[in-house]
Amino acid sequence: MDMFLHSAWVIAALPLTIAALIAMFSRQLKDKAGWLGVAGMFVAFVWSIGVFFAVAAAGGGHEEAAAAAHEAAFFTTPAWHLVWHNWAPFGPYQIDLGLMVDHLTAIMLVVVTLVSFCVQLYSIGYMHGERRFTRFYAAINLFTTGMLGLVLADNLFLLLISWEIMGLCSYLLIGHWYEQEWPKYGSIKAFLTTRVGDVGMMVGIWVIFMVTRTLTWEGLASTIPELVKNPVQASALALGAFLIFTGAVGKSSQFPLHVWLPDAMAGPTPGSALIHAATMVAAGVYLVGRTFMIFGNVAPWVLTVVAFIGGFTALFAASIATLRWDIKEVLAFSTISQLGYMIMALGLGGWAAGNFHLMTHAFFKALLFLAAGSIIHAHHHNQLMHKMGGLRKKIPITFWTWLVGYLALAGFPGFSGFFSKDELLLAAWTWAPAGMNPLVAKLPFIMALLTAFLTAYYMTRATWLAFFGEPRDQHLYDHAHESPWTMTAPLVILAVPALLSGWLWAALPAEWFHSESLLWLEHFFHNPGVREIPTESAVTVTLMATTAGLVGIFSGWLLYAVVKPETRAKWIQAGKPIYTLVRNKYYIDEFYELTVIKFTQVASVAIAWFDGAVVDGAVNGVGVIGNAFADVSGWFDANVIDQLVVMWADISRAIAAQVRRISTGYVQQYMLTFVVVVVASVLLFQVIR
Amino acid sequence: MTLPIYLPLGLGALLFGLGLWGALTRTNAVRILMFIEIMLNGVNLNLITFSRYYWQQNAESAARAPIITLFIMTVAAAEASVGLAIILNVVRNRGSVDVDKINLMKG
Repeated sequence: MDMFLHSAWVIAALPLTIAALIAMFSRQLKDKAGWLGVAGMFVAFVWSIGVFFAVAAAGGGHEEAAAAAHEAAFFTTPAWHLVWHNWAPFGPYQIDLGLMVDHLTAIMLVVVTLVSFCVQLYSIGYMHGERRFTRFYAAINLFTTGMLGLVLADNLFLLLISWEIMGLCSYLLIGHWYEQEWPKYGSIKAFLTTRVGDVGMMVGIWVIFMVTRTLTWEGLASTIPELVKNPVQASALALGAFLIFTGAVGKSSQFPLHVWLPDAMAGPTPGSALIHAATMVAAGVYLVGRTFMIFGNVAPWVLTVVAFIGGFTALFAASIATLRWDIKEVLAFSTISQLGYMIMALGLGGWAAGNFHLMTHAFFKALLFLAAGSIIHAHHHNQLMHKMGGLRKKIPITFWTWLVGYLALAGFPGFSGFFSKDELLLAAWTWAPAGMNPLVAKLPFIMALLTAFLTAYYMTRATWLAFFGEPRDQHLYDHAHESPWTMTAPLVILAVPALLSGWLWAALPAEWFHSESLLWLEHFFHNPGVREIPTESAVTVTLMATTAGLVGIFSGWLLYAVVKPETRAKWIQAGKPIYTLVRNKYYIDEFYELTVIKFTQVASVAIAWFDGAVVDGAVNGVGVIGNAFADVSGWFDANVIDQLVVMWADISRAIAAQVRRISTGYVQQYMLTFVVVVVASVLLFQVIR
Repeated sequence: MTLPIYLPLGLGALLFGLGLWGALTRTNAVRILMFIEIMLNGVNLNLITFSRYYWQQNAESAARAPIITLFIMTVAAAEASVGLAIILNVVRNRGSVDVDKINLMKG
């Protein structure tokens, strides 16, 4: 196992090599590119499993923290560390690039490689015969490299590089069918919106570096607790932490930068499953979790902002998801909502809970997306739920696996999402920062509970509309067919962790069965310094959460299975204003359209005018002045300087014309002159003397 | 009885004047060269005369004159050979030794 751990870099190098191979030999590989990617990712997955067991054998955060209690908070010594010292020296400072594996990385490696493996296998069926098949695989593999590099990075700099690689691949995959309008629009929107957050993040990294002079996790964890004692540096670090969080807001699609994720659904569904559900969008959560040595040490307002943005996003996105008709859009808003959950948990100090939900969510949301893709594939590329219905008999494997994902997301007891959601809610319930009104402190919990209800509701609605009831479009229904094995096998593979991964940290069953092993993940995730979550009220919270989930499921079933569509329409009519508001996603897109985009357009017109009229005018003016000056100068040169020169030449010539006459060429004349001059000189000399 | 000084000086002046007259009036280049030799010898006679008459007063100074004379004789010989060589070439190129027809130096 140590062999895998000590060569963990292979996991990231493998997909990079494959991406390069596919890009170079795209013509030769053609359809085989998919199998190359699948094979590579399978090896990477096996390798990750090896790394995971090596780390687990060495002991997770729990044992390590006990062994090294003197170590800085929010930092556990990595099990494996590889550093390229002084990669970028500048001035007296240097940036080291390094890869490392600790317990969080070990889990993320398994999650990323498993999901990527399933997605690549699935895409062989889903993308069969599509345009730019090899480009898709090259981008998917490059993306996987980025995500693995992100989790392996031991410093903010390498993390940022991986972060941007993922941004690029996200852009490429959303715009895969760039001949159509929506993918083109979606890819640009995704890139520009995340860019807003990324700029904040880059400035944040710069601020952090200016204060701490280091970017590695280890360096940050050891310097920051000292630095925050100085109020100036403490506020600078708080600002840096907040700016880094804006990067997470952009990437993890949190309010107010959430607008890009629904439009990212324009890309191929497997890409959405990998990037816009399971891994890349979770990178923001991972970032906050990984840099907790900054967040945890600076002023508490930063984490409070994190918590409230997360909680608000969770509720906000869940409410929008209740009224979407496109099945992928429902899942997109669900993803935003669940990411809000994780961000909120981190903000509330539920570090382990947030990362736990990140893991379970990756499994069941990837599963749901792939299942949705399977439905779409079976349904001749129809994504609209009001044309579906009754599909459970036609596509049984998709139905059963979807059901696992649905129940996990809805928080049905026993499924993975149930346990992770419980931990989140417990972290929210026990959150009571000093000096805060207890009612305000309960707000995140209330938002999270409402979200749990809405999540169960909209997922029941989607499930019912797609799989139950009568077919709403007989033609599409008749032609529906189960997907090939390459698409159903990944669903089955993913259904296993979606169902079972929660049992790695099943708090209540562990208590009932007195089983420490059911708390294994909690110990593994243990991070010294984060808030201890008291567990006395665990039963109360679980009861509330389960009730919320079951009520959600029941109301979804009631509204869509029992209540007639006509009655529903009547109710919608009654609540028309709210319905319109939510149906239009609270007009956030329109708001941006009217403010940011209009402003940008007006500003660019104004700037273009300024450029054309003023800047160009100034430049041209300088040119005109230069021309005029050159004219004057040229005239002066031609008429004064040249004339002076010519004048001197004329004068010399005139003198020469006179002088040359005495130069006759007759030697005897010269001699005579010589004699005369000598005699005259002598005489003159005599006279003067 | 010593020879009065004006006799050798007068002869020197006569030789110089004769040479100058010839050099300025003759048109044959060879003749001009010969007249120049006469001028030089007039000067030599002058120098030797002064040397001879002033030997008693200041032998050191007076001894310089014969040395200069020897130099002039050497230069005259060289000048005659170079001059004759030039004239020979002029004759070859122009077929004449008439200096009035040689005016290449006219400005």
